[in-house]
Amino acid sequence: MEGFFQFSQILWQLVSNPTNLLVVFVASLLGIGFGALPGLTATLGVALLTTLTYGFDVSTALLALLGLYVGAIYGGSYPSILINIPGTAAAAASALDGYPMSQRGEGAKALGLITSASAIGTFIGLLMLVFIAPFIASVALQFTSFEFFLLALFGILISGTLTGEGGAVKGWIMGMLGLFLATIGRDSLQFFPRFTFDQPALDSGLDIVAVLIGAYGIPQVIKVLSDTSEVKSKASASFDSMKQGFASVYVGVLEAFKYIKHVVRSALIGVGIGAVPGVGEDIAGWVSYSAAKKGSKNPETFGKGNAEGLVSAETANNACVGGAMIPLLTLGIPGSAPAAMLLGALILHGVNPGPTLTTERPDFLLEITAIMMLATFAMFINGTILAQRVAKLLTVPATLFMPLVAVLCVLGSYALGLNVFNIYVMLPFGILAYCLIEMKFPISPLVIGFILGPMADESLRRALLVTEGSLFPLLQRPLAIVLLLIIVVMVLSQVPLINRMFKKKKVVF
Amino acid sequence: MKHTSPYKQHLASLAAFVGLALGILFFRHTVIDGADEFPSRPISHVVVWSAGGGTDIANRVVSAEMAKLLGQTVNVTNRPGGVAGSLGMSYVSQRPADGYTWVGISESCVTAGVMGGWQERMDIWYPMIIGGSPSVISVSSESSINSLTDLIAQAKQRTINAAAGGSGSIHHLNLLAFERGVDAPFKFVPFPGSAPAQIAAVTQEVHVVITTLAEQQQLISAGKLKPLAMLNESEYAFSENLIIPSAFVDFPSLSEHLPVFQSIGMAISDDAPDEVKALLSEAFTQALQTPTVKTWADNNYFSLSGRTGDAAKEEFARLESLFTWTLNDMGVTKISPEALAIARPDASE
Amino acid sequence: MKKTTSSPDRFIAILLLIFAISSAMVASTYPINESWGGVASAWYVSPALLPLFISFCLFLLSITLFFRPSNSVWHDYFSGKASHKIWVICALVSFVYFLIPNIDFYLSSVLFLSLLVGRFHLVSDAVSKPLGFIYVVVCMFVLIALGLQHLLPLFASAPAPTLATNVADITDIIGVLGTAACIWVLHVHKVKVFLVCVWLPLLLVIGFRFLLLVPMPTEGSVILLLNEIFTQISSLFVGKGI
Repeated sequence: MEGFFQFSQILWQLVSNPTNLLVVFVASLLGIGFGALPGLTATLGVALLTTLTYGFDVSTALLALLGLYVGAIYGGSYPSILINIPGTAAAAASALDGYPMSQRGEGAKALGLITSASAIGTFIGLLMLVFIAPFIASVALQFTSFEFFLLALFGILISGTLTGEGGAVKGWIMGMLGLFLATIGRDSLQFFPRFTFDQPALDSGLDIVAVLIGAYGIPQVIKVLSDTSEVKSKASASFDSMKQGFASVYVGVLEAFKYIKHVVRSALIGVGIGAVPGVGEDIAGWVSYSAAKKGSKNPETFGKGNAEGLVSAETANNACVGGAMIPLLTLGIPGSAPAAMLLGALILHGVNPGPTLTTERPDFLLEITAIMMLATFAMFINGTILAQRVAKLLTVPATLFMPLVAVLCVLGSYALGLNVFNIYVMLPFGILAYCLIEMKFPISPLVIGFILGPMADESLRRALLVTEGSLFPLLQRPLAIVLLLIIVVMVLSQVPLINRMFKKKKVVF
Repeated sequence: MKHTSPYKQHLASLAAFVGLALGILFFRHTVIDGADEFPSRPISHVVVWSAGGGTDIANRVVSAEMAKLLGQTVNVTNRPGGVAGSLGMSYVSQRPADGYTWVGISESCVTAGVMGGWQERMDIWYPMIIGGSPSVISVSSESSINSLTDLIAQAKQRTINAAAGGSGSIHHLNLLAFERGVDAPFKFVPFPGSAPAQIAAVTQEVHVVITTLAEQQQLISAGKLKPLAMLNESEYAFSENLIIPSAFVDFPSLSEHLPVFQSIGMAISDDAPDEVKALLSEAFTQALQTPTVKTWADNNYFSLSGRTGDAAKEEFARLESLFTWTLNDMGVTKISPEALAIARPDASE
Repeated sequence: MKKTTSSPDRFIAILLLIFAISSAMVASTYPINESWGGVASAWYVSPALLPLFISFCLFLLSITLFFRPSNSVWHDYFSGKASHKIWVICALVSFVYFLIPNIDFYLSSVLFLSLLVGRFHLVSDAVSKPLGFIYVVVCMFVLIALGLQHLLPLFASAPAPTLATNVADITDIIGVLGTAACIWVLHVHKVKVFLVCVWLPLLLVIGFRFLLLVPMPTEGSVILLLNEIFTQISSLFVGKGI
């Protein structure tokens, strides 16, 4: 109780300063922009704001940084829902159901839904941070190389299973191709150049943003522009629904509470995954989405604009923020890339996150909680107001909008690495991705495979290096066994070959 | 209004646009800044490692102080990528040598040449060294190993897995030097960075870890890691009841191979005008004296160096020779250090 | 059944099979037992481990796909007009490989945007053709300028850097003139089109170049002009120290 009193006091101190409020709202708005634009990431945003807020005092600077971080994770879903181009890899799972919803003319409602879902997700993550941080941190520290490998494999397989139309084979093929792309460059264990063909530009591997934009952005640009007639009818359809009133954003905001079961489950998944160092928003959405699909009475509606799927994916990736803060504040280990930048910013401001924090700055955990609460609040308000304006974008004809998206894609793939080579890689890859998508190969497993590839590769080899090639120690680790079992069950339940052979007896060979 | 003279309105803006653009085009070769006093416009500071890392933070802290002293804004950006920071370094080296573009580097950058990242050596820079954190060798607090002698005795009997950052990193070099000094074999297990290497030591996936004190401080104070020894000549009073001994006490032969000290710093092109170099060195030296930087260094177990000019160049030349030849001996270099005219270090003869 | 034998899935499956085998062949040349990078080596730490694993999985998966293809035919997959698709792809390719490396980023975006907007948004409009014409002309001129840059040193004795600067200036002028022509063609048009093709790229460039401090791939007349303006403005606000 005393803690709560202290907490409200800190919160009041923060709120009573108008500068703070201004800072958090502007930062959150900026964050939504960073998330929504392909190629600009939460990490880059936090890095830029760190420089800008260097002169501020700690709490104001943190308001700005966390405001941006929370906003950016949320903002990534805007383009996934509106134009099927996820702004960040984290938002890819949101596109599965979000985009069909907006094609049905429910874009505004979908935006409303994710606003609530994200806010609640962040908030639950926050509660976990306050109450059971040490417990989660100790579980997260159970992860050794074997578990990291299994987790990576799990992430790739699950996204393949979820997105493959008519069997998981095509999804898994794409996952493997993603893994292959990840092997290009010097391997991180031994520096051996793989598939670089003596090109120095390939030594550091393919740039993640280039792959992301190539996979999602370019195919969508080609598709929408070349299917002009189809698009025009779509735009007018959503325009009609828009005319029915922008109230649908609020409908969505409120409707999210109907899915509270999904929200809570997804938030817990998000916190758990966010807390594991090195794994973050990218796979949290997928895992949570699959949990929602498994638990649903009518899983066939998933991928066709099911609000449950959207809410689950979106809640989980925002809950990751709270999860990523747990090892950061308890041990000084960042749980995700933006959190790593945040660690830098904290040190820059003379705060050393970690176990000594409670003795050096006893109020700090409460302060951060208050700050994150404000950041969530700012995101919610900004999101609700912005969603209406953004939903209007759907009324802009796609033929006018998509060329601009193409320019943004090009600039975005260049901007993070400041390397023109990234654009050169991005485009042919995008064209290839377009062809594969047209042939009903899902693209998300490829991206997930690419993101998790390095982790899978080096974790497996390192684990074997430590055990000298023996797989036996794997069976002595409870966490590894659990992960392994999940994977085996998933693969067996999804093997279409076996299923169909038994069910239909309509075998070709 | 809208329909009366759209042509004329646009014609004017069109003319203005073309005029301005062509104007600036023809004058741009002469417009390059005149005799303004040195920092007359914002400085851009390019850190070659990603945001939030050790090099990034050190550079940001110091350049923020330098910005105050110079009375000019310094915009810090990160340009990681390439090989050993080669992307950022080649970008800065292609900018005009006027002192308006700084580069934030660390000791690992010296390998960019031999790893095929670029065709330059470190001597194109005028470096200023901020400093580094001393290296320490630690084990998990639950480990049965309690002292350095313990560790060496065990290493001679069974395989001891050692984590020390990535292949060819400063920590890896420390491990190699340590192995030679104590004459015992370790099995090197590479990790993509210091943080995962340390976590692996905590979870006992590996037996020992070598990283810097700054990187281990939180895990040591949390009681997750047990520091065995400092890898330099002096002991370190970590806290009131924890004094980390120097490894040199029990193994004096280490002094032939160690210390290999971390060197984080910033640099400008060596072709910059002398007065710009002098002014920046002065600002740099003063910045390291400010309370902000000092407090930051103390809190983060970071020892400040402050070397500039020839002393700093010498240090980087030494590191360059040590790193490149070690990597060459491991067989991972793309270009031999000989081809870049880098001399072999004396110690390894 | 005839439908299934010609399934595009089978075609892809064969491609994947070839890919899997060739990548396995490349990977098998990687060090497997010899030490590399200071790491004591064995098969299980070899850099070839994952590529071989991937090749193996792809091999199995593509065989599965070959024998169990979906019943689709090519027409189900690539719906819509092929000419449109090729058009967009050509525009993207010329923009990325041709305009961006040679012409000021703002100018090349305006050219590219007017081309696409002209072709797909103002479809039946009279401006659609002139915009395409301008784009092609600019590309041709850039090609000639680049050709000169590579051919001239063979005949003239001018030093290469001077030549490169001159060519950069020439392509810059081409860019400015081309953009001016686009603006001229577009100016009678709706405000919206003008906004998208001319003003938004300007905002984009200003935002990235001066707020996010991202130098553009090619900085020609427009960005240098903007830079000059911003330097002058910022020097008004920043005092001097030391």
